[in-house]
Amino acid sequence: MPPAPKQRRGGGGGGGGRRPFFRRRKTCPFSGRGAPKIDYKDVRLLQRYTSERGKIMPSRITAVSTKMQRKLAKAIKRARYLALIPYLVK
Amino acid sequence: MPRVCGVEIIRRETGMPFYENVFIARQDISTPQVESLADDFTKIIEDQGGTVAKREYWGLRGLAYRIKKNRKAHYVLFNIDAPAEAVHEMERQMRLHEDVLRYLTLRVDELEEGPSAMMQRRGGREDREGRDGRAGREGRDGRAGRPRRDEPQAPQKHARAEKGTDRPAKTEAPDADPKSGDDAPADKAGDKAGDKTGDKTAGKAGDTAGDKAGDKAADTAGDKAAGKTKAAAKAKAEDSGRGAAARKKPAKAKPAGDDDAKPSAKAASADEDETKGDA
Repeated sequence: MPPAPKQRRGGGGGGGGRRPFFRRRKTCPFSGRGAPKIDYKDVRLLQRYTSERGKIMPSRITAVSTKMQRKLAKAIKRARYLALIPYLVK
Repeated sequence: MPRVCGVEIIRRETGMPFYENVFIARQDISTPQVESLADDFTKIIEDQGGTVAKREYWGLRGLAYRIKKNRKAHYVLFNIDAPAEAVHEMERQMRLHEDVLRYLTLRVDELEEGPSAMMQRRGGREDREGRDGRAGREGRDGRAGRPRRDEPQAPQKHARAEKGTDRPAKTEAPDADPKSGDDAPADKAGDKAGDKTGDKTAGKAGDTAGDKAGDKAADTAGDKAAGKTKAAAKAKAEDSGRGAAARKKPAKAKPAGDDDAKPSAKAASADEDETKGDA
């Protein structure tokens, strides 16, 4: 039996998320061809990886690879420092 | 081993790394003042043997949170190729300067060519403001909104398409949608016709585009605003019919003219009557 999928879809309707349900593992949006560059100046891109509250989204939801998640987190923090994106949204 | 080839080696010899610097200036100072401030910093760099490869003024942007009671600030980006001392001196000056709220200097492997991400999406930003948050939420699957970073023209279409698909139940959408939907194809039809007529396949292009335009006219016949724009188009069409010049503008109006002759586009002719009454 293959290992249970770790990835759960963010908006997916599946819900169950248990054994029988099998979601295809998504690939990292920052690897592969045509992938966007992580850049602290690209506010629109970064905002996609922050929650409504302004928190950094966990990679288990966004399927970003560990390496890219580190870069992404750094970029988000830089953008926050420059007040391009908020630290928190009330 | 003197410089063999490649920029890297030369670079290491000169010992000048690349830097990227963004500084934020107080909102109360004017744009020329910001420019002169940026000039001062540039001069510091250049005096110490560095160069500022690119300077970008992002304009007066709203801050995501208040910094020293400021809600807005001027953003300036530098791409710098300079020795570390020059950058240190510039940073020192920035720290001392009262108008500089914040700065961020990063060493980068290579300097970006062309406008930065900030400038690229500047064009279509206004009409899409306010939807950023939404895009962020959709982005959970990491897909939505990617095409938006295209050319200035493309995003508008995307925005329209999204309006239709993403939130059909929202209040604004039903009102805005049909119009924008109609406008876009109508424009397209016009453009197409213009191009083709330019290529002297005038008859066909006129017919096909004419049909399309006719349909559109039928759709928008009820709409008065549309009617008025049509009126302008009609006027042009009549002129062009007499002038018979194969230029783009006349050609654009031409399909409408062909349309009138066609029985299939009754709505269009009705529309014309209306518009004539208007005129």
